Amino acid sequence: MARELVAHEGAAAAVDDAHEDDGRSIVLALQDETHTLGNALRDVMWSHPHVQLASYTQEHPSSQEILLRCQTNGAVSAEQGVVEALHIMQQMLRHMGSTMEAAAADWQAGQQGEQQQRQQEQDGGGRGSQAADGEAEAMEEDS
Amino acid sequence: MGRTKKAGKKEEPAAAAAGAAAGGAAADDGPSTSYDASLPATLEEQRTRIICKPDRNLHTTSTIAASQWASLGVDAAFDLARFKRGFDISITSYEGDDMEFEMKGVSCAVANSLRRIMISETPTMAIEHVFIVNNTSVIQDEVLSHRLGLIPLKVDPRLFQYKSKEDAPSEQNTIVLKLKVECRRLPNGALENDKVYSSALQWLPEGSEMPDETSCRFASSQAALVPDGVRPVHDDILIAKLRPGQAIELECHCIKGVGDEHAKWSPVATTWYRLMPEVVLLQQPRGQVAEELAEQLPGLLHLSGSGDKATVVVGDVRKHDKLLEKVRRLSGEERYAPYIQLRKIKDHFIFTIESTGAWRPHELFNYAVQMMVSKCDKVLEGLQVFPNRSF
Amino acid sequence: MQGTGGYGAGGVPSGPVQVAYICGDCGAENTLKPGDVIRCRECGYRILYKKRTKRVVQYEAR
Repeated sequence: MARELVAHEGAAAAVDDAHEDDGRSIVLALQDETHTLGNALRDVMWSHPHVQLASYTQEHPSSQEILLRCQTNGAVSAEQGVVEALHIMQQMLRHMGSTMEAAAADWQAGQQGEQQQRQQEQDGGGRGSQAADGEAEAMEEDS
Repeated sequence: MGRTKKAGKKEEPAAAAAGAAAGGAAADDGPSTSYDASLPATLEEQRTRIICKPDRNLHTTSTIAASQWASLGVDAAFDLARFKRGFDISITSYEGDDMEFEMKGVSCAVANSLRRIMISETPTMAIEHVFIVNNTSVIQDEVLSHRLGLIPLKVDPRLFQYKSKEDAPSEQNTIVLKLKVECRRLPNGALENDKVYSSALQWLPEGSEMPDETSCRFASSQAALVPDGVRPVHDDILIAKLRPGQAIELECHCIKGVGDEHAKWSPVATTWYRLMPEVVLLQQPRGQVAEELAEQLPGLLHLSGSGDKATVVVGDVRKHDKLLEKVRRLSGEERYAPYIQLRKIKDHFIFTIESTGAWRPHELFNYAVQMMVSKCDKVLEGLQVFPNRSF
Repeated sequence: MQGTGGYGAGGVPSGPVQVAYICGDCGAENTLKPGDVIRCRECGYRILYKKRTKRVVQYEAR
């Protein structure tokens, strides 16, 4: 569903991994990304057991890219640290999505249940006063 | 208003909440994200709570390194099972286009990303080009066009494609609305059409009625593509006022866009979150102090007993929002500081989504989630594939 | 009086130039020559509007 943004090809390009560190650190330029991805990804990267440092910067508010830095303890390469953090984030998000779907379905079911209950109360012996009926209708309208 | 209901999720096992450790009454059972080996109470409190002092807030950061407490034998690395145990969403109110829900067990960085995406990266359809045939009203063409652009439209943006500057308008990327009104005085002296409302906008599923001027030609009707039709979310938005003889005749061409480009495309009036507050009794106040506190914070603190035996119980924090800042102030006064404290739970959000009507609020949330997933995918595309996970 | 300086008198003027205006109050159409009193013949209102171009004008709704 993502909007196809032009110039997103090669989303991540290594900018600075020239010095010899066995791939323990990396700086990625993420085209057309902002704090929206940067800050969340940084936060998740810190929770990776082999990541020692994670940070990002948007060098200027008008720039269309962010720089993401990752440094690991050597157990994995920095690139692998980033990749695994991205997978962690996707797992979290998918769980969040399905939880929201379930919560919304539950809410809807609850609403219908309430409505049925009100219907039964009206149809059953306990015929409410006119005023009470009016109130029930008003409630239905705003639900 | 204000009817609340738990979305039937199972209650999470109670965590070693900091509030409990401090001997106070917690507003909720706290985040269930505690680690397998538990942290000392003070650290757990710093990890999960912001302490609201009268002049400053303490422990406001929420990013935690996996190895932060390695020396204590506590592993803070991400664990999916623990995340799933701790994460919960419960809707507290859902009326029309407004939804409020509580979300817990996720970092505020992720919650904030979702908020940002809903505001500025989720598409809707909005009027972008206005072709004015006639406008003899006192409201200028430019101002009229701007007003039209801001009218929220009830149509699913997912049915349409984005239209770039180079694309020709077609039934796939453009919606055409027509507005044609003329004000006149009726024989009985009353005015007709002296107020132009959004309800006067008519959808043209066949496309522009003046294709030569608008260069917009549909290959086929939109009626099948958009079975529910296109109309403004609200019929009673005042667009212009007319005097007798004044008329407006124009065509509006709507395209798909996002709030980042212009706020008229933002699908929310706004969406925001705040942290769940918590009022904690650091120690039980007794006698005179208890009575004073209960009097200062009516409803929030319930007095039980009287005289020297008087004590207080913390009531429902969510129902007394307006007293919370007073709690903060009292907690700075020498007399009350030993007893009462205001805290915020770092990973428990009270989230509100106010949709403008094109989307259902919970669909907006899920769109933001999907969007975030695909952002990750885009970055992954440019990186290596690592078949074996390192942990 | 010659309509030499009147608006819309682009070509060679043949007699006084007449321009149609819309009354700001009742909406009646008024035709005025240069020098005429600016006043609606129907209702006496003193604000008259020039007619708008027949061309379609395009705007961005921003």
